[in-house]
Amino acid sequence: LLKVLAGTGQEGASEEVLSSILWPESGGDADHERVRSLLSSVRELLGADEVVVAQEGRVRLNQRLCWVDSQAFLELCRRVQDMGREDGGAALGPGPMGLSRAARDLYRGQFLPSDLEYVWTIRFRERLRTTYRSLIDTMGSTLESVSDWEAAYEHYLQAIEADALNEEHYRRGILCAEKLRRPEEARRLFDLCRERVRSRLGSEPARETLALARTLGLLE
Amino acid sequence: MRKLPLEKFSEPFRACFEHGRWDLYAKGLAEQGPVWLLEMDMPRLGMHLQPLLEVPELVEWTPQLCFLADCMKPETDADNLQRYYAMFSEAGDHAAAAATVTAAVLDIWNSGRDVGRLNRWDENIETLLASVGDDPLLLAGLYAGKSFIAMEGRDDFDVALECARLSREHSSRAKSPSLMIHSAWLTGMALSIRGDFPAIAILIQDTLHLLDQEGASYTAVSQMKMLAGLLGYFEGRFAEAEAIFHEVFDHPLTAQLPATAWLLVSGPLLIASSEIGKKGEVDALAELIRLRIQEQPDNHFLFSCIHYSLGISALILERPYDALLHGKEGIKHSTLMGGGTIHEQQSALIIAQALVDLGRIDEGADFLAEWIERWRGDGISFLCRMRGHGDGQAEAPHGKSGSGPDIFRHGRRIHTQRSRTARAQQAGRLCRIAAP
Repeated sequence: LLKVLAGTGQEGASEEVLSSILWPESGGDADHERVRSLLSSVRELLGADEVVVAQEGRVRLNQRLCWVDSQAFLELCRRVQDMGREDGGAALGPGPMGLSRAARDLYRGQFLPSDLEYVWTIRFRERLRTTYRSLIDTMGSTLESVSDWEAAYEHYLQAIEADALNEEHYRRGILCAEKLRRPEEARRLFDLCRERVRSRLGSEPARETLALARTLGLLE
Repeated sequence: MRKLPLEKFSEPFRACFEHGRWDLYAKGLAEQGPVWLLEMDMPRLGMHLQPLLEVPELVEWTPQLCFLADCMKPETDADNLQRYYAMFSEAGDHAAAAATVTAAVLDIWNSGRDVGRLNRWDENIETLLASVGDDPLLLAGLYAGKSFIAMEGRDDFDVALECARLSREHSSRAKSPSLMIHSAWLTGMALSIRGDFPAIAILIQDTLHLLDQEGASYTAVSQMKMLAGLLGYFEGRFAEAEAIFHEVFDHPLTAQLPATAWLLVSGPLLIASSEIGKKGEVDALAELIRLRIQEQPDNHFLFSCIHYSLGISALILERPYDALLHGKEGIKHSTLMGGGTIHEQQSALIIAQALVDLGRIDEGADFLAEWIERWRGDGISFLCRMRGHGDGQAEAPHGKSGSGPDIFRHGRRIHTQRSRTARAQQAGRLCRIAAP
């Protein structure tokens, strides 16, 4: 229940949704009692009734008492996006850039990696991942637009650590290394990408990645 | 909580899933999905499709993927399948086109109505066979479809056997355990209609080693197990047959089968349970079957099979009037199916036996006179072997279905040998009324 609530944020979830996630095979009035009973157990376990709020058929974590990294990440990204809209430009200003860094540092990899098999986690995991990728792209573009290749390069390396098979980040990292006139690092990055894609996905890197490597003379 | 059996995910799907590479996941599924469909590995296809359905906005829904997703719906739109077939054929995607054939055949069969539509897909198979080249997997899948259509669509057991043979040959070349088993099952079903039980026994022995092979689909494996159970049943090993049927029935995936396929498991179980006198279980299962009917009120195949199973069960439990009613309902729905006549003829046999058991001998004689020629003409000696008429009628050699009296005389002899007096008397009665 706590994991589901961590994924549903400040809006929480209706008892009906919680029931459908927790006991997909059942249904009906009995589920209401089951949710209530589970809530009692969770509150008892946490030693504080106020941590989980149940109001008007919805259940959520009390945001004033609980900090959830995934929700904090999404909130920061939302603020970055709002500020970006206010500025009206594609590149981020110093304020949003600072928030972006904070958001980036919060994302340490996929949501609930030990619960991959639970169907309900998929949608939220991918929402976080997509948001993260978008954040990396926006931050990277900002750094590239001011020719801060060093910072952009480091930025992509960090992104690769959290999202190991996203080739877009490798490609942009390779381009940064080229701009920094570090062909060996560009080659190392391409080799790392190819090795990971081959070993984990059993295929060659994407056409775009190979084309870039070919253009830069990284393919032997 | 709903869980994905990630440990059963093939690579690279699992890695793509873990790392959010939905582009490669979708591409891989569009290539592999049609193969799983050809192998009738619906559980595998369904479980690999599920993650995509959770994040549809992250996937480029190519026609191949849309087709696969449509196939997992409870009922597929027949016109839609025809459109997919035309699209894939035109694009030269033979694997996807062949998969639409499998999907359409299953869909028509599951719908249990207008079964004559199968013949249109037979034409599509012919067209595809001319264009797929020497791809053994596609050839195996297409010949399997052709065999099934010949059997269910127009009672053509010669063609069914020949196509099943070709399917076995190609599936062996393709090293596909699922299609090897499935084509053996098709052969076995056609042989059972012909009444060639020794050949079925050999076929089963030759196929058993494949059932535990990795990649053998649940559908194919359960089909072969059911065939082994049916053989046991026909040979009078009722307890053994019932145990096999139960094993398949109790498998968690069986409950998820479409009603038609589910009935091909529950029906034989009902009959075998009746045979060994598990009255409580029979009543409970019969009730379960009746409930399942309600899901598809216009599925005539379903109704036909249900009444057939209930009719046989009623005969065994010595409720001949119930059996008579089930037999009549069975004929009505078999006729409405609009395909081959095998199911209609099966039900006719129930009526014949029920009339005899009710003591309405003259009526039974008239009825039999009308049907026996059809059975003999169609070479369906199997019908004279069904348990409702006692296993006593079994074992007439292949190709020697003989006249009605011959068969029933044969039955009386076997019943007498087995000291099943009541059955022997029944067979004797049938023998008398079937005499020219």
